[in-house]
This record gives sequence, structure tokens and C-alpha cells, in this order.
Amino acid sequence: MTKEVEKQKIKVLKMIYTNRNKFNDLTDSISFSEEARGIRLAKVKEFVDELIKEQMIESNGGGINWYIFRITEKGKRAVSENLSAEELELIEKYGIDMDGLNILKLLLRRRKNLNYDQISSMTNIPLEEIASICEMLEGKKYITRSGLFRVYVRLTPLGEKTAKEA
Amino acid sequence: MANIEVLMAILIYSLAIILAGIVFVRKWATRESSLIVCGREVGAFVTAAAQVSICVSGGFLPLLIAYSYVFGFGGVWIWWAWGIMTLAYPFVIGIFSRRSGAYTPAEAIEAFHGTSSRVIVGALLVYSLFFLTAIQYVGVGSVLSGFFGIDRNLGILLVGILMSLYIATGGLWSVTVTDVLQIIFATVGILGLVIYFVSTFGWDYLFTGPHPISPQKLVIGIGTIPFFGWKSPAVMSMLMFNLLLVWGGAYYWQRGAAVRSEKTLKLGFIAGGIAAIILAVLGAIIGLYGYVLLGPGLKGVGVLGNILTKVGIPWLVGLMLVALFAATMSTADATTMGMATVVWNDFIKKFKKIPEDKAMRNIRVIVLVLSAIAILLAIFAPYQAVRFYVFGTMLYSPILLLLIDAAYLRILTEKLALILLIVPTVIGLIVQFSYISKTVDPTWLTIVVAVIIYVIVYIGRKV
Repeated sequence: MTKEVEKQKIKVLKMIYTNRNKFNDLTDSISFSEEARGIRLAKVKEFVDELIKEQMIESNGGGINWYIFRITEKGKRAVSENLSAEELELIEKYGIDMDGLNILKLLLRRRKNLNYDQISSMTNIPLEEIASICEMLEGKKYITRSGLFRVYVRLTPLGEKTAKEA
Repeated sequence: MANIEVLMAILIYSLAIILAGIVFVRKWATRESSLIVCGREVGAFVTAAAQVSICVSGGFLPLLIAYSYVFGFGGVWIWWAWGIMTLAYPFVIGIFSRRSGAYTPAEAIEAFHGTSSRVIVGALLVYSLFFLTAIQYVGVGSVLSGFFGIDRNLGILLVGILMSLYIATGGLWSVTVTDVLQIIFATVGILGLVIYFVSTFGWDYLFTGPHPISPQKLVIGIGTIPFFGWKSPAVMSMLMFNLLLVWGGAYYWQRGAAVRSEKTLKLGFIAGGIAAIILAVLGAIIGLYGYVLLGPGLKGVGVLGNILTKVGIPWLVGLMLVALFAATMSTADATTMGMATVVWNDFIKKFKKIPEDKAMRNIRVIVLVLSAIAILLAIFAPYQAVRFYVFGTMLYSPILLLLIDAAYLRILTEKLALILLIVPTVIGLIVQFSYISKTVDPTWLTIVVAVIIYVIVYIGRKV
């Protein structure tokens, strides 16, 4: 297994651990070398199949729910081995990773609603990934999203508390 | 028939589209994902408006009025069939379009059915979208030609250039923002004419006018339209056509992929479907009054033109003309964007290494080249475009089954997927160009063949 693939697999596990657990979260967030860009879905499917085979993750069921995953105890152990104590605590206590926390802290610092483009350029997180992270943060009630055309992200009181504490 | 009011209406509309599609969204299209799926930012209201603007097309709007003229409130089915399929879409295919993360149906299919399936599905989608785009251009050229007396090809060229520019500038963002504007213009046009008829003549005029209509025609959703039959205008046939068009189409998939969340997807498509169902009833009123005023004997899309000539009030005609213009453009821009996305995502990007920084420029070039080809097709082969478009829709039958398989059952291997793609398509092709197509819509045949193959594979697997 190459180092790149290993790194990607850990990222997949970490994402599923923090509830960014739909197939589209993975396809939007896993970056590939130029050769693999045209087959990102097929490549992510390969990753997922391997992780299921290795019993690191499980599918959430049959039918359309196959595209939602959950992490197993074995998968959690693999993530733990590859994360710093600080990040592990963040995931276990608040259910978010460093990218999620960075977005919360940015919103706290700027004290205004930001759109995905602004968040991406201020945090250096790829634009494709912002939608996935924000959906997870909204699911955990840390932010709300609004806007007729473009999305504007706003911190909730819980998000503000978490950004200050974490 | 051109006059200053009509010209002004068209100019205001064109200016609004340029402002919205080029100036307003220029800064929004910053990355590949913004151009193709609006960075997955689109909310429910905008999704609903952009969705219904596809239904209110240059073909469907005159047809709604023509069908209502003939079948009364039974004519609403030309839009209701679309509305019902849109309502159901998020619960079957739409959720897969968002959850899979794929930009096109072909990309989603590849993950389970291999690269060859992706290439064939991509090619079939581009084929059907080309002709669908070309006939929209023919429609808008004819509208301009009819009202301003200019050459139809000049009209196609003018609209083609305007549209290509805004799609190339902002990609799906431009299409989305202009579609919202276009559905507003189209709704105002339809409402304007309905209000004019009801306030000028009153509802009773439908029974007491020069050509009174029967009470049967006033039963909403029933009228005098036939329900069972293998060819349009039977309701059964319309439902099947829209099932394939909406559930198998690349553009609807792209809309589903562009929303903020699965909840937004459901809200947006349900609202879009309901809006189409309500607008259909309003549009049908125009057809009913048209019958009373003009009497029987008119055919096809000419009904609307005759109604507008009879009305003869310049500002109202201008309003309706803009509605028709907007309806045509909103569909053509969506199909052009769908086509460009498939070409970029499933062919160029798949087989050629292109760095991220060059992606934007490449997508824009693809939009301009494809638009140019569609414009040339509309100018030099307008009648062939219509014929080949009809064939294009039936190609969605095997695509739809592959999508259902990838989303829910995942039982087809790459080889079986190829059989499912090729056999119904070849049978449909033979039937389309033979005498059988005069009595049976080949669309039915392709879906029946595709389902039979799929069921055989499913049972075979269990045995």
C-alpha cells in the first residue's frame, strides 16, 4: 500500500468517524493525483470496498443506505493510532475534526456570516470539501446555513461555545 | 406584428438575462465545482424555480395551450406528467444523485458497471441533449422570426450567442440565476393572459361565447384526453416519456447534485413539481379561451400564435412573447450545460490529464464549441433535429435501469450492463425507423426490453 493510499484511507476513516459519512462526502473530500481525477467515484468505491473488507467500516444497510457508512471499533483504533491526542480528543468530545474546528474558529473570529468561497480562501480547505464539512457542522447544530442563492454560514450559540472551548 | 412594446419587452428581458447571467454571477464561478454543481450551494427555492423553468419550455408551453384547446382541462397532463415525475424524483433517483457525489449519471454508473458503461451512457446522453438543445434553438428562432420578420437563422444565431456567453461565464450558476428570472417572466406572461381573459370575458363566456365548450372539458385533469394508449397524447404515454426524460436525464441529475443537502433536494423538487401542476391549470385556461374565441380546426403550436393575434393588445402580446422566449431559453441553457458537463466530466477529464487551474478555461471552451454545433444543427438540419430528439429520449430507458441498479440493488456486472445498454437501444433504433413506430412509441419498447433483461438477470442471480 502506498503512503498516499494509506493517508487517504485514514482520512476516509476520520471523516466517517466525524459523521461525514455519506459517499458524496468522501468523493468531495478525497483528493487524487491528476491521473485519478476523472475516476474519483470509482476510486472512492475501491477505497470503501477495501475498508469494508478490512472491517474498518460498515455500510448502513442495503438499497440507497449502502451509500452511508459507520466506523467499526477496529476502524476507530486505526484512526486513533494515526491522530494526535489533541485531535482525538476533539473528535471524541465534540464530534468534529480540525477542519471543522478551524471553520468554527474562523466564524468566531470574523463575527459575520461567510460564504463557502470566503471560508475556503481563509482556511485553505478546498472549496469542494467546504459543503461537506458545513453539512456535518449544521447536523451537529454548530452552524446554520441560509441564503437565497449562495450559502451563508452563521455560528450558533453552541458553535460559539465550542469554538471558544476547544 | 413587431411593434415598440414587443421590442421593448424583449430588450428588457435580454438585458436582465445579461445582467444576471454574466455580470451578477461572474465572481461566483471560481472553481470547477462552482461551474458544474454551483459548489453544492443551491437552496430549495432556487432549485424549485430552476426545475420548473425546465418544464415551462418552448415546446411544452405552446403544447399545453394546444392540448387544452383540444382536450380542455385534460390538456394539463402535458405538464402534470412532468410534475408527477419531478415530485417523485428525489425519492428514487434524486437522492442518489446527491448521495453518490457524481456530477453526471454516467460517472455514478461507472463505479458499479465499469468504464465502458460510462462511455456509452455518456455518449447516449450527449446525443439526446444535442438534439434537445437544437430544437429549442429552432423554437426560439421561429418565435423571433414570427414576430419581428427577421430570418429564423438570424434569430437562432442571436439567441445562441447570448446564451453561450452567459453559460460559458458562470456555468451552472448562470443557468440557475437566469432560470429563476426566466420562470418569473414566464409566470407573469401566463398570468397576464389568464387575468386578461377572465377579467375581459368572465368565466361564463366559456359556455356562452361563439364556440362554447362542453362541461366535460372543464373537469380538471380529465377533460377529453385519452388515458390509455401507446402514443401521445395518451396520458399513459406522457407519463412514460417524462419518466425517462426526468429520471434518466443528465440535467435533472446535475440539479440534484447541486443542492445544499438531501432535505433541500426533496423540498426543491417537490415544490418544483407542485408549481408545474398549478401553472399547468393556469396555462390551460388560455387554451380554453382560445377555443371559445377561435373555434375548432387549429392544430399544434399554431394555437398560441392565433390566440395572440386575436388578443392583439401589444403589451400583453409582448409579455406572452417574452414568456415564450424565456421558456425556450431556460430549457436550452439547461440542456447545453448538461451536455457540456457530460463531455467534460465523462470524456475530457476522464481520458486526459488536465490540471485544476486549466479546468475552468476548458469547460468554457467546451460550452462554446457545443453551443456552436447545436446552433449549426438548428440552422442546417432543423427537421432532422426534431426526429432524432424523439429517438434520443428512449435511450434513457437502459440508463435509468442502470441508475436504479447502482443505487439500490447493484447486481449487474460490467458485461451485463453492456447488454442492458446495447440491446434495447438497437431494438429501439430499428423500431423508430420502421413502420411499427406509427402505432407504437419505441420508448415503450425500449423500457419493456430493458426491464425484461434486468428481471432475467435478477432471477438468474437468485437461482
